[in-house]
Amino acid sequence: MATRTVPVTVVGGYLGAGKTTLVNHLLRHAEGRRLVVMVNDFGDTPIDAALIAARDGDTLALSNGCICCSMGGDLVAAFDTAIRLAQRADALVIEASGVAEPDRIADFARAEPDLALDSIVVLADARSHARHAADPLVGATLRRQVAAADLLLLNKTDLVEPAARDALARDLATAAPRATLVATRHAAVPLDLVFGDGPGSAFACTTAVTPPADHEAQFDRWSGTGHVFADHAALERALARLPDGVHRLKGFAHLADDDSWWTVQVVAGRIDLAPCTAPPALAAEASVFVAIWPRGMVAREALDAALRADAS
Amino acid sequence: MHAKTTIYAARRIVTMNPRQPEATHVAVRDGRVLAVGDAGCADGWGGGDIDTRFADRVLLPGFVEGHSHLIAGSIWRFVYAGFHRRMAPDGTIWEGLGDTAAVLDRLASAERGLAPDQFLIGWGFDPIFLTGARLSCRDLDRVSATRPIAVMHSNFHMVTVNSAALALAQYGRGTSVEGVGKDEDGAPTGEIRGMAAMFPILRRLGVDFRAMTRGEDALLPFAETARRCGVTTASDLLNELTLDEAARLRAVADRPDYPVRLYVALSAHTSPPRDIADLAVALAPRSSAKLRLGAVKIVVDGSVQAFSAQLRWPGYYRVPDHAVWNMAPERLGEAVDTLNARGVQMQIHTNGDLATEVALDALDAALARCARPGHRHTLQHCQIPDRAQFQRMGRLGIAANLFANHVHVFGDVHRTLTLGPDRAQRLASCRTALESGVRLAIHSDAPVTPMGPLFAMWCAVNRLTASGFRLNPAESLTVDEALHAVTLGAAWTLGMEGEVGSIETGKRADFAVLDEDPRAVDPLALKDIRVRGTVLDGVSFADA
Repeated sequence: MATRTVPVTVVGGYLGAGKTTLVNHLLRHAEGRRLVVMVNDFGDTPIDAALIAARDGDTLALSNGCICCSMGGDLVAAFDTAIRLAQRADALVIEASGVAEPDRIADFARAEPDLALDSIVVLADARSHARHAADPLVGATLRRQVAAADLLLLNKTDLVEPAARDALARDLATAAPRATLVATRHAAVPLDLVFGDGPGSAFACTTAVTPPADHEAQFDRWSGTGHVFADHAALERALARLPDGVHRLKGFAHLADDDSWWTVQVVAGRIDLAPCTAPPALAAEASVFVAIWPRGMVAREALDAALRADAS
Repeated sequence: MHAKTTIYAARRIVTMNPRQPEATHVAVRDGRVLAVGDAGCADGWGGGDIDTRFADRVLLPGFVEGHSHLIAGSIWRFVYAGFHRRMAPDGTIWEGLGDTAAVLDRLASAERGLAPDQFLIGWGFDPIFLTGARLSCRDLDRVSATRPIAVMHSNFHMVTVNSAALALAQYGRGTSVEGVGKDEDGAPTGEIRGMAAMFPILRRLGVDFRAMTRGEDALLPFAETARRCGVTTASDLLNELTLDEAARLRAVADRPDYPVRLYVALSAHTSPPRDIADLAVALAPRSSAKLRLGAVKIVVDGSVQAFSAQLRWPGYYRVPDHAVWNMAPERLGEAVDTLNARGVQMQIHTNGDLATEVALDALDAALARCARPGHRHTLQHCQIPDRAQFQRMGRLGIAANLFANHVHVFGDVHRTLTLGPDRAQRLASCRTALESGVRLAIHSDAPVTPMGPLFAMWCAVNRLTASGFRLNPAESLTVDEALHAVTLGAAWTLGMEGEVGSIETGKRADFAVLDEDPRAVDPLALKDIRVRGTVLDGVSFADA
């Protein structure tokens, strides 16, 4: 059995919402991340031909080190294959079918010790979401998809009037109160919004890579250090105080009472803490965090204050 | 110089040919029926060798199982822990287990026969039928505290495991995974529900359902399962076939000693419709007399007993609605249209009446665009359609393969919990189907319920639930109608009624060998008629 825990991103949303576009966007901008992507079937995934290095049955090897595998009909067999492939990768991305419930697919990652759920990304088509959500056949499925989202991408916003987009955004905010809502065109989002990359890694802004500036401008990033936590309870209190709207916060926290270190991962209000050894690159006893959110959603001072409140 | 002719003499031959319903002799040449009648029926063909091995038996056309799965054979590598009596492929009768203690006894005796590094895996368990406390992790720990044990439930969507198996999956008090059952104190009960929560356990126990449908280890016990209940043509309705896999299947099926004809339907769920259509069209000419390829299986919704079937108003009765689409309705329309236009036969699983409605909408539109008389599209299970839906099926020429066994196995649950008394009446409403002009088959969905056309007939004729309740006897079939449903009716749903399903000149010499004529026994005894095996292509696979 595998020894490494692979972070899992589930991509959901109804037919035509842009799941495949997002997957292609992630593959094209992987920037050194080795992704294993499990798609419903290759037929629906127009992966750039230039990117494909080799094909072997249900598996496509891409020239940038990423791998695509097909879910086929048997989810269990597909997961087994994907876990094996993902042992040498940085993350596993699962593209759910248009009528699948991403939360149920995320259950595989929650249950399997070799996997860990990173986040659920759900896309909604700005043109057709309202109509499909009201459809007697698939409406309930769409509503459950949206409710499961950590990151909700309101896609194809270039194809609707701003007023219609804003009305839909309000409805979605109610339907998915926990999710971070981002308006997108062609499902183009910065990859550090989608991937945690582990608590120790920096966000993409610090490595000066794509995506394009106009998408980049939609997001604020923050990093901070020097926060002090008396004990585990103090750390939990601090994280519970985080302002709404912080999509991701990650880092290393140091506890004063027993000199222990903890990795911190927060995605859309969902908090994961795990004990770790002292991160070598950091000065002793200095917690360090980075965070990202859609522009204007959070005041940097409020975020900093939330993490410092116990100390003051 | 003629090929060899064998004339089987029987106490009675029930032919299912309405123009010659009974005979005493059937002459066989080249694997086919040459003549039917009395001892002299083949005189004009030069006569033949009279074979009297069946002189005390009743011969029927070999039964046709229109909805089963290859895993019905290989599942027996695990220990049977179910409530209903079943026969294993090797002929062993496994008595049904009526309480938790009996289940534990059987597991304990199996455990003693295992090597130290083997896992103990059970299947077919169904706590809804058992009296007393529910099987738990602590019970299984008494069978073994160290060897991982997993008991799969009959629906394959739940498993009950011991502490050693929980430890493999790292499930404990701290686990908060949907489907991992906990007791009042927060400790895992051992009950694990749903594929996601079961996955870490099944994976570590090496249970691979897809592998269990491949190779001789699957094909041989499946054929034995069929042979022992008189089935000579059996289906595998959902196979992720490739051309290579089809060739491997055929290498086994074409052997003269392989005792069953297979009809294998390609899963529509692995590729876009146009690719599935291409593959189905490429598979069809690779069929042989023993292996029929080219059809496609589509699964539209879940199941009523898992609360995942798509129901129309008023929805579920006393259970939560977990309805799922396995294929989006708009994608279904595209798939049905594409496959129909290419002339590919579709076997479409619908359980709930909403799924049936959506499938009929798709078929109606596809057939309006491209009319294909004789298309043989069939709805599978199709549990509770109303009369209007059946009439629509009749109008469109869509066959129904109804889940008669479900009336017995799950009828009580559907009446009291899932559907309520009104719609439970519609379960396997065979008579309404016939009255609506719908071609009818009945099936087992083995291994979900045991393969056994005589048992399916018993269910469709008597409509007795497990508790003994007679569920809407107005929908009962006569014995003759039920016999048709497991022979010519089922053959029609597979597009094979010209080859199998009756005993007449030109057809394949496929027979079921029984002790009694089903038309001559008390209908309540139908399921108890002893089956002695089969004849396939004129070759006896019957017990001595």
